Amino acid sequence: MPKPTLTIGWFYPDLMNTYGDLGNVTVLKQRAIWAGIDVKIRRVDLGAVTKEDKTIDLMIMGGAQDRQQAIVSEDLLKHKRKLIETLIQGGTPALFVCGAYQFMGSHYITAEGSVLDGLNIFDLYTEHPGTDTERLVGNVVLKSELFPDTTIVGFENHGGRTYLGKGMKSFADVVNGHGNNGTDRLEGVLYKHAIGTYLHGPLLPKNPFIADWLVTKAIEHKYQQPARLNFPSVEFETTLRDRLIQQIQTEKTG
Amino acid sequence: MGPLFLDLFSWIRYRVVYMSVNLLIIVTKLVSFWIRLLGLGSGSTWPGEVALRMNRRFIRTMFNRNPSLKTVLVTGTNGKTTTSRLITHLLGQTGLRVITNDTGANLLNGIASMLLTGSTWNGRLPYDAVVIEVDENVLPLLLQDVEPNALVVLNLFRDQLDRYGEVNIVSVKWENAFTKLTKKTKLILNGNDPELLFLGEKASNAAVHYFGIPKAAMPETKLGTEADQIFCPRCSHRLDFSAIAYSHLGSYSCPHCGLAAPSTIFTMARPKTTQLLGLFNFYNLTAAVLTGTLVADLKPAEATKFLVAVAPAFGRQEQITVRDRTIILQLAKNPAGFHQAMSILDEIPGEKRVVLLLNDRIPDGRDVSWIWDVDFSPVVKVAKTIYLGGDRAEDLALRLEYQQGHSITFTQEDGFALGNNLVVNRSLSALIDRAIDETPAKATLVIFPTYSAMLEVRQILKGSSLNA
Repeated sequence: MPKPTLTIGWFYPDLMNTYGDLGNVTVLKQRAIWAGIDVKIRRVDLGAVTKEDKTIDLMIMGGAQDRQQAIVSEDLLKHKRKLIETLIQGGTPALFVCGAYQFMGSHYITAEGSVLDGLNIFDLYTEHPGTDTERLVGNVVLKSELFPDTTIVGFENHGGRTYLGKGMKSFADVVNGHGNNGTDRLEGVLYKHAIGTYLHGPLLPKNPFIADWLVTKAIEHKYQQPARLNFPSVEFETTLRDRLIQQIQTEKTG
Repeated sequence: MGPLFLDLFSWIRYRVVYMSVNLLIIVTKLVSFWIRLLGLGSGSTWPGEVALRMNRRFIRTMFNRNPSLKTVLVTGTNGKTTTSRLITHLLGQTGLRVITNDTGANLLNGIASMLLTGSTWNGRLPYDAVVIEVDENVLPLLLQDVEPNALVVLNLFRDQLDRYGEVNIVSVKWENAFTKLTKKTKLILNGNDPELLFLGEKASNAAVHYFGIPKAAMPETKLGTEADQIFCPRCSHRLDFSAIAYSHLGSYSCPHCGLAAPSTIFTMARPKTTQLLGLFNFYNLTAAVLTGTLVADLKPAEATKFLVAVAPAFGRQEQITVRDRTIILQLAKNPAGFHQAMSILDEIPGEKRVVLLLNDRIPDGRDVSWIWDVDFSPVVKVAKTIYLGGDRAEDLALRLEYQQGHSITFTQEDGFALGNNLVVNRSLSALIDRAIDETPAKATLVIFPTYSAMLEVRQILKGSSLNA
């Protein structure tokens, strides 16, 4: 059997990379390599979509600051909407963090009150209640139906509050932290094989099972058959996560 | 009758404010005296905290009472403490009496505490100049209380995003504050930082001066993973960099709107220093020299001569000897700073061992995602064994294993987690003790800590327990 190959599409690596997002790409790539897969990273930048972009098996996009997000938003709407829509609806796995997560929604209401169009791939919207309100910042602990035997750990830092549309599933429930909007105890979104989340950390190094899930779904989708991939042990990460969770719970009550 | 009443009211209010400042000074000085006498700790920021709570205009009042004091403010993401120290030393060499907040307390309460400590009983500061290191977020507030003779801005990098929100928020606040500056203030900006050049253009009423380093001294041609401002702050087009010093500092121009440093930008040849290693210190030295020429009428060559023998501030290339080993402590708390900190490894001769310490307390930034934007290959290249410690030592362990493509397997032994070439222990004293033990006699142990870890490890190294 020939070695399976995987093309990871990293969208806007120079612009949407405020926050350790490179770490997610590093972990995805390495764990896939350890599982015996030949990995290629395809950087998708500003401008028209190319033929090679359509061969992406796994999408990843991070967050950015306001000025950079304005540049990306324009490019997404003008050039990338059809590509991303096709990939997501077709079942291609994806990880959208923070700003990217917001972009995939229908719209974003800025702190000043203006309304920006999103790609409308997820039925959700985000609203920034104004620069006087507190940002949602802090350590986060989640429980996700997708990974029932374990807990997810990360760090959030966002001003925007995201509200899921009826029928949209959240990525996880909030055990500790604010989540999408600080009121409904939901975090992120899960749509087909696409995950949207506010979690930094970055997300994948300490929660490698999420990376393994994304890679597995990508291989299965590409080769149209169940994949039996051997990912390395996650004992170290599990111990680290458990300890962090204990510490976070103590801080909350202490 | 009306206006007379208002005048009387203002006069009474003024006297109350005036008196309460005197009262504050007396009370806080007395309490400080007793605290020091009874050895209850230094607590460098509480007197200022009290003063500001009792009188919001305390800092403003102190500066109003000392109008002939030459005021120099120093801010930026990296280099504030070192550059403040250099400028303080420089002004002192010209015969000026200088006061500065050299403990690193750079928020308003720390600045107020410095003013309290240095003032007489009736609020006079018996000095010719004050050099203040100011936190980036606090600068706009301080500028409401004082119109400085010079404001030195070193750089603006991504740092402690969880505390400040975003880099852009800081620069927007600065932009608003800078438009209010007048010709009295010499605004001394790093012209190799596109963001600062843009801000300089906006400060239309201040006397703006730029510094940088010669293009020939810039080693890179490609932007690294730690760079965060690569788009024109004026028109959002991608910038052209013909040379890069580090992060987003370099020789750049915007192909769309023409944003570029002016030809008047001040540069100098790199001075030969035995300490103050690294390109980042070349910037700090250059900033200090330019400030010396503008504030104290020094010639650049004179100023440089005064500076080359200055020893670094605590935690910045600080050299400590413990059990006959040479230990160098270099603060590293954000991607740009870390890359620069690691560059000193090339300038240290001989064998090296490296310790990385990562805490996630308030002064360090609670989110540690940023370590994934650091390329640790300079450390991997020179250190046979890498020691990892601090609250988030295991995050570092994960980072380093992925950096090297190693599988994530650790064995546990006596409280240490051991990987291929990694030794991990959250406890600083246990880790440092082992690192010193395993460092050969002629080798140098280089420690890169985040801020709170730096304070802790200094205490450990300077304390008697490890010197036996």
